[in-house]
Amino acid sequence: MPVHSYAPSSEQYEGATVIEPIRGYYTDPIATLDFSSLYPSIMIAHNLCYTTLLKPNMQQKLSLSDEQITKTPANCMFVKSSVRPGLLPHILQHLLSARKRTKAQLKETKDPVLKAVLDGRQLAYKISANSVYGFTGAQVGKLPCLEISGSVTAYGRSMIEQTKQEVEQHYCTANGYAADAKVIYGDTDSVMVNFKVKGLEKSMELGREAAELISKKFIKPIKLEFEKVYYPYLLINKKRYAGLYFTNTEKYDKMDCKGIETVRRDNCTLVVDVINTCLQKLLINRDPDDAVNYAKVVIADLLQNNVDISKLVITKELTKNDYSAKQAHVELSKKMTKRDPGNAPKLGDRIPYVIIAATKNAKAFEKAEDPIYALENNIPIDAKYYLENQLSKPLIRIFEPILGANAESILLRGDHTRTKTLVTSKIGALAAFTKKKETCIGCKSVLPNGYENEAVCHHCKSKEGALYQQELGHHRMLEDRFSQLFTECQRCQGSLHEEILCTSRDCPIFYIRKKVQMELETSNVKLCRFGQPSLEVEDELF
Amino acid sequence: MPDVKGDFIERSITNYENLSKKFINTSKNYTKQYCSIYLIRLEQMRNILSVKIKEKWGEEYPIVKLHKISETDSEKCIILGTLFKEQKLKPSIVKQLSEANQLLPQPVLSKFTDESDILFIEDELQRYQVTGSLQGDGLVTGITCALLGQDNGNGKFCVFDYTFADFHSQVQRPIFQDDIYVLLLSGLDLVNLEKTNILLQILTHWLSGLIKLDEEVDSKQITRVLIAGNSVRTVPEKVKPTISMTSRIQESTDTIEAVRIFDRFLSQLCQIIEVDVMPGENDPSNHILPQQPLHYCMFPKSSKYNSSNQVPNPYKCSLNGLQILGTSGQPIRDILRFSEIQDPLDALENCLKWSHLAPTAPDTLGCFPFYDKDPFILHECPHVFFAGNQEKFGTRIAQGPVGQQVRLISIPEFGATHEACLLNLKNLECTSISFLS
Repeated sequence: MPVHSYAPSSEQYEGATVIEPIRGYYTDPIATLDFSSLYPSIMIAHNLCYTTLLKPNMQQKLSLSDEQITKTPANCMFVKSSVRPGLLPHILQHLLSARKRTKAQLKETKDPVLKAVLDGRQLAYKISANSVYGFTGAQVGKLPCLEISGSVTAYGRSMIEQTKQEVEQHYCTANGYAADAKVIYGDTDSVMVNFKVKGLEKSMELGREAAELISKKFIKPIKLEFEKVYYPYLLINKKRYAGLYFTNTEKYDKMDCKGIETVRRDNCTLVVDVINTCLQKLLINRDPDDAVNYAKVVIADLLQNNVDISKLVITKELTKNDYSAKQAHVELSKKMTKRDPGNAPKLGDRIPYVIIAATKNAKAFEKAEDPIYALENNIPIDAKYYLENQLSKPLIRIFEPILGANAESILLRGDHTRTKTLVTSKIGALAAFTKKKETCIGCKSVLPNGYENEAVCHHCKSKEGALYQQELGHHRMLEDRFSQLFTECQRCQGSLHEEILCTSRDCPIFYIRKKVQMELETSNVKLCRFGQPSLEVEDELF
Repeated sequence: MPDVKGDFIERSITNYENLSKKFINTSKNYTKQYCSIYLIRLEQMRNILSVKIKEKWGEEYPIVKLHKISETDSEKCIILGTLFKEQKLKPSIVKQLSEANQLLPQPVLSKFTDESDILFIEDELQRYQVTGSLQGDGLVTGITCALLGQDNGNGKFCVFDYTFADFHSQVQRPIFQDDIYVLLLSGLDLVNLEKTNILLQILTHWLSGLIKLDEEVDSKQITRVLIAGNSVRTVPEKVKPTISMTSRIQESTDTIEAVRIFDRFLSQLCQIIEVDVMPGENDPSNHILPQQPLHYCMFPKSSKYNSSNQVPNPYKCSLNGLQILGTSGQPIRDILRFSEIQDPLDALENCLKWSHLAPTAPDTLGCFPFYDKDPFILHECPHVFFAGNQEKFGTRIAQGPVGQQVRLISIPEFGATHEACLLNLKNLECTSISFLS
């Protein structure tokens, strides 16, 4: 065994290729052709191994003919298996055949436990096989051999390119096909082909045919497989796409999203939810207009302070107290300690916070607030922050292929962004000096003196019934939520007779419970301005 | 026309009294939780039940609190508590939330019972699973009862015998000299007026005596009309899902228009007869029980008449001392959904047995978070007990243990069946009357 000194060299080799994506929202079926176990196959096919590598000049020394060696696209030389079969290809063949066997077994078993075990096993084989390539390229590892890894990737690159050319050359109108096929994207070991045909069936047929046709052009065991069709397909960028994944013609298997959802915890759940729903509308319902409308509604809701605060909560772990740069959650933890030292967050806690609207020039770290505190004191949320720093980028990303360059202006500056709710905080410097005047519920004009107790101004008097119904509708919905939420918590805690004391901030309904209570109070006050609908009041009318 | 005038006078013969004060909700405190209503229910029912216990089992067995069961010496004991049915199909808002992101529609259930349902009994501090002779099929969450049995260990209580609060005493039924009728209606569904417009015209003309229907009843004998809910619509409006649980949703113009039509219809009706209007589930009142009377500002025309009487839901009144109690149907529908009871009349009778108007409130039926009273506990046995907005007409007499007689009525939806009910106050007979000619 050669002992390798870990000198990280500056030597670099080129990685896999990515075919430049033709971005867009494709309503035609997109067939995906995959090289199965690409790198292991290449190593087997071309007999790439430490034991078969020929250093420069070795060819002459060993007097090997040109037929006995392979010259890789990376300009390295390896002897063919007829001269000496390599060690790595041997190992890989074993791993791949073991995986094949396990997969066959997996198909036959019905027991879910055994199924899970076998599935894990075949994955382990796959990863082991792929890691063989991995350690030849790891320069701080034990067995780096850049000749091998460089050759593997070079082969891979050329094969993707070759596949692209073959597909586009073969499937064209000149050869009697209905349309010119186009490779719209390719990454490492797969190419996405738009055969420009309608219907899943046709596309699957062509995909299968193409896979077979092109496989023949490569040395065994390299094999191009037709695996799935994306229909529809949303290609956003390199390594960012989403599509409805079909392997049969009847029903889709799943919605496949790559590199889109940011499941990171420093994003609020609103982003994940919205992107998810939009993608579902785009892909499953195939209704781009509906998706755009939905996004607009969400943005409008956000600006009108209608989004549940639990969806806006961002959490960050408090790792140390004295960062050199001020950070939102650290500042907040200091604030919370000041308010209630007994309940102060400790090191290692995840601190949930929301971004609140503050004075114009407030720094970002000054705007973090404890969600419960914000809720209780009616502190307005900084909708602009959430729109610009959280929602806009992912939204524009997925809508750009559909709406084009206008996406941003359509989504972020449309009519739906005109109505904004201004929440007046219960605390703050100015709150103490403001005096509230009642306005007409219909037209929002300030009610004149002597009419403060009326619900509407005399212009809106004729519409009073309808206005009352609008308010009532909202109140009814809140009431419903109230009863649903509180009974849910009762069931969860397993007792009807004891008060709900739960403070689990991770519960999806924790914040909304509080919010509904507060909104009910407000809406009740509003309804009361119309007068009590009770018997006594009615009697007084006469 | 002098004789018409005479009829009119005859009609107003009954002496009306509104007994619904306890359903008028003046406090609007939403900071309370639902535990208070269960606590107060248990406390009030305990007094009623302890009398029953003495009647049924004497003083042989000790009455113990649930957390003291393991400490009692005697083998058998009596426990008092509220029933809770754990049902996996119960709608849950958390489930709804997690499903909201999936566009595939979830199956809509009309029945939420399942074989896996488990019955529990609980008091202020403890909860026990109930086994033995008390079967959960015909029961729902929220019923207070007394159980005789023993602790089986593992948190299970084996029931040998049980009792509910049962029928209360009834005031004596007043004697009427003549046949006097009350017309009961529900589910006018005025958003779909085109189906029923003519029928409502017929109804008005019939009540005014302008036309006769093929009925034995002369419309001048009808003293009152009671509209038991869902006058505006019988099915809730479909709303688009929103991102937030508190987003404002615009009320549809259909509903607003239907309310206007309702006002016009009422103003016609009120010119000829006294009308009680109860709000229903989908009417513009508050949504959770008790529903408050419909607001007069929505009825600029009809609210001018004294004969227009907006009442709450549930509603209780007395006519010459004859007590009529009922709801617009939500509690009955909820009982049918969460138990194996099929017939609304059975559900009505059970309510009398359980001594509660709406046991499933607040668990699966929205209800105001009362903290000092439970207005739905029955303290008296009514003579007539009705539920509005049922699928079809049904009626029978329920017999109490000491001779109480209660006329049970399930009022059909007018919009779907074109039927109303006529109740004879003299003999408590009730018939359906169809307007479909």
